[in-house]
Amino acid sequence: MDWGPRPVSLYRVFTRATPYVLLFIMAYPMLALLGRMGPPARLLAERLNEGFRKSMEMIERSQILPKQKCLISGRLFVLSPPLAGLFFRAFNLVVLVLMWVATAAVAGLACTLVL
Amino acid sequence: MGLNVARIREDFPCLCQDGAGRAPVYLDNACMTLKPTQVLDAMMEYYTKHPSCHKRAMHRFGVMTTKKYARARSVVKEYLNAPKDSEVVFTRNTTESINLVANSLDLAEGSIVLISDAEHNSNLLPWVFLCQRSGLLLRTFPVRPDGPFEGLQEYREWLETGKVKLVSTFHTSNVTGVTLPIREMVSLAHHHGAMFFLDAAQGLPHQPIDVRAPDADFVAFSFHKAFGPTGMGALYGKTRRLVELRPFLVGGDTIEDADYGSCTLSPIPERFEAGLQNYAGVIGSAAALEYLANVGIANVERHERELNEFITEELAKLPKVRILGPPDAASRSSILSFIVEGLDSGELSILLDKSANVMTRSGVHCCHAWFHKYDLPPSLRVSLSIYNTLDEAELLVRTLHSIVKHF
Repeated sequence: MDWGPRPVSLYRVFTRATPYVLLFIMAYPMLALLGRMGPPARLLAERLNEGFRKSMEMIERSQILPKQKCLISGRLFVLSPPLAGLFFRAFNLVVLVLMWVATAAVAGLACTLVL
Repeated sequence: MGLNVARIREDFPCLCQDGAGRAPVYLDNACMTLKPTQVLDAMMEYYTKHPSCHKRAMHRFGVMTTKKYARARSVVKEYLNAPKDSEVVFTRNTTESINLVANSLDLAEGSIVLISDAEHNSNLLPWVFLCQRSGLLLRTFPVRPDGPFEGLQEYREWLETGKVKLVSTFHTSNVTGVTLPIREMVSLAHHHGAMFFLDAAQGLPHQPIDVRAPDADFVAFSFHKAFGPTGMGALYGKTRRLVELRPFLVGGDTIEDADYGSCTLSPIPERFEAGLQNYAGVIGSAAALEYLANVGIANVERHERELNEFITEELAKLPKVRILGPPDAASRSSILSFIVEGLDSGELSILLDKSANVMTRSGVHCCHAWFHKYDLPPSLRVSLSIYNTLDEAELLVRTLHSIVKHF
């Protein structure tokens, strides 16, 4: 019996899953068009969709500040369970995107200083 | 006569606390139960009226402590229906009781120690270390995560090898709540010349335990799971078994006389109770067993089963929930362990605590080997007691339903 997946490494999630998800979201209009074209293009679109789904699963399974996530979700739960659930599900992705933004900002600043 | 839960709750001061406007819902009783005022008062009386050691001191305080210490041993003997007071040894907990026997037994090299594959680390590691040290062999019979216990055949096959000299197993699993057919297992063990050590840590607070039936050679339990203080446990042993043990912890009170090369051991059980004891703990432990006897173990069993049946029935409606152990709540004592697909049990435990003040336990429950063997993720465990109410069970179920729906 499958009792559920195991957590993944933060490094993998940060360097593979998050960029994939972000690029997928940005390219979604084009992918939607691909899906309406011939079989090879549609197959490609389906594979990219599958990659997006698996990346999102990896992001959800990763342990990013779990206590803080649960603490805040728990307090929100008293006010609104749906809101608490949304916060809980979005938490990992939001933190990862912020990490990417921070990394890009630091890299940009470093480049500026070097140049 | 049923349980008057409202009246019982008045005995537990910590249930009157208010955490952020919500009463605490304590569902971690398999780890430790709450303590009634009767136990706290008994312990405080020791410290305020006669705080001294027993036996050694001839003054008034010492005499009082000696009497209460002896009386406490009698209370335990009566509760277990043991033949003699001297067959009850006070220890710090079940873990120490098992270690005491494991470190004091003298078994021939090549003998088999047989345990279930679902033992708590406290009933696994002492035997692992013993086997590594003494050339014994450790073997297991299976307790599968799904369904009722079906490992009796394999248990019998091990015994029929003739090499098993000791069986050590739980009465009730701290993970799944399944109760083993102990009478039959003890009978089989004795028939094949093996001793039987019963870990009754989860069994004693919830079901009747009579050491004469199933007639185990050793029975260990912890008082902190039976409304008693932490740091207290007891080991029952048949006289002929206890006298065979070589004490591994020696010092004050374990000997009658000593010189620089030898000593005369005290009779049992004193030879196993080294140094100054936890007198408040012993006296409080006796008060705990008296409290439990007053409530009535049949009432405890019935109340916990009813709550467990309700929670099980409600959780069974959730498609993402998988219950560990027998699906029938009546076979799981006061325990319900489950996994929610897609939700980490640690996160779920924190969510229940923060959102509804519901206290549960998550993880592998000190059964690492079993979780690894069956490739299970950590589970959430709910464990009930006499002060839990139907309202609390409904709150747990309602909160879980909402979490599964929205998270």
